[in-house]
Amino acid sequence: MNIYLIQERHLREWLADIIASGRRVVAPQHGDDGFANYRDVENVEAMMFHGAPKPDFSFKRLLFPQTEQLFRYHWDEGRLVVEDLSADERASAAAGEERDKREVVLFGAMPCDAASRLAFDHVFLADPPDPFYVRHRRNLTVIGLGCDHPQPECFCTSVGLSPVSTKGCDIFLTPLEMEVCNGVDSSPGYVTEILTKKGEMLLKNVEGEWIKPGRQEQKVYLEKLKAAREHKMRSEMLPRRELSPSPEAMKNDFENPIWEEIARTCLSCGVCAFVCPTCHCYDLTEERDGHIWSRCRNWDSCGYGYFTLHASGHNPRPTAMERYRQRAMHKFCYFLEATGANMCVGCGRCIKFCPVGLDIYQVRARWQ
Amino acid sequence: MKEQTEQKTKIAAFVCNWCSYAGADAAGTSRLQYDDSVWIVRFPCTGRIDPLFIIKAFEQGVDGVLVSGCHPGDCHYATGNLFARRRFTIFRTLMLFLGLDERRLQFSWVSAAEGAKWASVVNTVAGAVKELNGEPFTWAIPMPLRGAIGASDGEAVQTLRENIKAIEQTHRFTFGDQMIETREAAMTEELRLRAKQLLEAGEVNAVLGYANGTLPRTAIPLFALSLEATDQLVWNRHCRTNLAVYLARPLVRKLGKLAVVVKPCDAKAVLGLLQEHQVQRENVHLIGMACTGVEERGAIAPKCLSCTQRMPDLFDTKIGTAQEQPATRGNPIDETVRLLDNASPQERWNFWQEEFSRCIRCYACRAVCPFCYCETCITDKHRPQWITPSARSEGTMAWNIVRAAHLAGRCVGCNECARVCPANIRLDLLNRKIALEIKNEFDYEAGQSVESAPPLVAYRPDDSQEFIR
Repeated sequence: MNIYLIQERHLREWLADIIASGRRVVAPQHGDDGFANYRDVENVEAMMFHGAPKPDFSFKRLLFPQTEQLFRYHWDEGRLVVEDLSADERASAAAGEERDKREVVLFGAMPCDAASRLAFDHVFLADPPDPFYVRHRRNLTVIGLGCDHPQPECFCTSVGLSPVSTKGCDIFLTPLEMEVCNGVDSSPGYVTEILTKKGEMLLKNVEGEWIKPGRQEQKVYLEKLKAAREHKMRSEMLPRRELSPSPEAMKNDFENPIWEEIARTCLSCGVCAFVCPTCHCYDLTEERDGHIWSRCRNWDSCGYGYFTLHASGHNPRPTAMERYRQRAMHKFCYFLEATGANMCVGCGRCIKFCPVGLDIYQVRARWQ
Repeated sequence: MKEQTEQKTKIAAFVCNWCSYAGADAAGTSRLQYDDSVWIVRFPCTGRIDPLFIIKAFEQGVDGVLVSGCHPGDCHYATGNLFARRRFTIFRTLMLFLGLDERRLQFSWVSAAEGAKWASVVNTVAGAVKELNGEPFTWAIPMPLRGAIGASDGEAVQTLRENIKAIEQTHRFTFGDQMIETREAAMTEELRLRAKQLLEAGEVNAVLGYANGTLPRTAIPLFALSLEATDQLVWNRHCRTNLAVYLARPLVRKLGKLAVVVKPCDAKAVLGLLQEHQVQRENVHLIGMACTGVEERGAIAPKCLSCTQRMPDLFDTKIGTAQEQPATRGNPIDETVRLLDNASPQERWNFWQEEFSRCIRCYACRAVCPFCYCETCITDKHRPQWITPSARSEGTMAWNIVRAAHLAGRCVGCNECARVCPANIRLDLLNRKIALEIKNEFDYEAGQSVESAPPLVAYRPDDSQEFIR
């Protein structure tokens, strides 16, 4: 792992170069609609580095678009013509919407969001790998930024992550305290960890003397810096315990009537799944646009009654109780057993956006 | 040949079988010449014409839609066209509020004998639509970088947004009342006591109220089934959720008779559900709260600023005493509706296209609405597929229009849909615009009386029809 020290103004120049080279830079920014999100950056000078808002949605749509066309078909003089889109850059375009083929550099990803990539890899890279996902993944480089604004809903520290976790990142930045960088330069500095080959390539492609190879003492310093930052962030978060790594207790309570009590207030909307960085269930639909039909893959939610409805009319998860239990069990039992990690990064968006304030951390914590 | 027809102006004419279709036939047999851009679709009655048909026609690329039926009094089914007249009054208002040019959506009464009128109506409508040919019209503007990772706003829309923000800013009031916490604590005590009494006496099986949420400044719904659980009940300005939404839910129905904590706006929703026979009065005990408004994002919720009601109209038990109505603090929602009314159609169109482009189709707006109780929502129906499930412009347009249209005359303005929208889409403005129009046209307000008929399943012979040719 290589560590560099980069000044903020150099980072800005570098990002501007990336945009100038025709690639997209996406970063957490406020929009005109007063809505914090991962947005395309047009003006690097005006973008926020420090204290950028926590995006309301994760960046999962860069890897797993809400709507993706898998193939198209139409009748041509009595013959059915099928267009395979799995090897085609147009796939992500719903008809009429031009797909953006450019490479994406995601700058300032929250550590929780970045970690969610691992869950996607488990699902979509399993044999056979999903060609659409593979393409999106290839086009995306993730630059994580140490989190400095924990929100009341956050609980990353309860699921084995932290505000300085580098999981899922290609490059990770940790802001230096001002007094340290004052000796080097007046602009704030970032300790830059290069974690993957892809991250290395991205920095390598840029010429410049401003990247200074880290000295050994910088590595030691980085560890201290991150520990201090983590300690500070933890102190700002609501007290939430680390969740037990064993799913057994919860799993054994599958039939417990407590689930009905927990889920009685659930309204079966799809907000939790749609704002969740790790939820990846989808629905397949046939859609028509003029004379052309397409098979589309759309986000779905296990909260919907229709999610498990059989063609016969039977529904194995007929009420919110079964559905909410499935959601919790999938995140904290089944996925954990299959992959060794929770399917939850503790971003807390589902708590924040739940119309009735259901708190998945509290649900899981019952089986501590 | 195919390409030629595609470039031509296309107008879909939705006509009733008995009058306008026969009228068009009469025009034909009389050898009258009229514009050939009209494609006729025959329906049994204008009463059968769902706004979705119109939406679908635009989605498929028509430049205009003409709806035509029998003159009032001539309906083959006696009153189908009178119901349709009300429906189209509201639907037209909604579409114009969204910024559709009024020339693109027109209505007429043409009888079987009026072949000449049919020809002239078609010529007028086609002429008006063709006038618009120079202007770019996209029913659903494609958003290449949809929603979350969105393109920046157009300039005119930016000004609109700034003005909307200014209205929000000037109407930002906090709960300055020093006494509020004392009052909330006292009401919480009173509520717990009453809940215990109700459970102990066996009058109800559960009390549905609020408990403190796990995040600061939140309250979440709580079903208290036991005496101990009632100690978790709270009452404060964070009790935002409209609990009426639970009354028709299967897991909740199972509980039997229920006591429900209601604010004045929630009670209106309960009243609407009684009116629509979704709830039986004897199955619900209403605990009416003396309300001074709820807090949203650290300020008094916009809907509460214009609300003058301190006690619900409908309750079995009341908690607290109604406070005096503070001096009026304006009506930011109505002001924003007026602001949009005064903008140009094109500005409105762009504004709403952008709003809808953020829609992620999670259907939280539907889930929190007490009136969205359909067992199968139209958007979940796939045979035929009226609303495309993909998060593309067409589908999100259709969904948001239909959601608002289905609530016409029923929405009581609790604004839960707008509150829970994770993408901050101003659904409250659509609901309010329709409510204002209904008040204006039909002198009806939702949530006022159990006995009255909802406005879109009623009619008056003399309902206004200025917009119908």
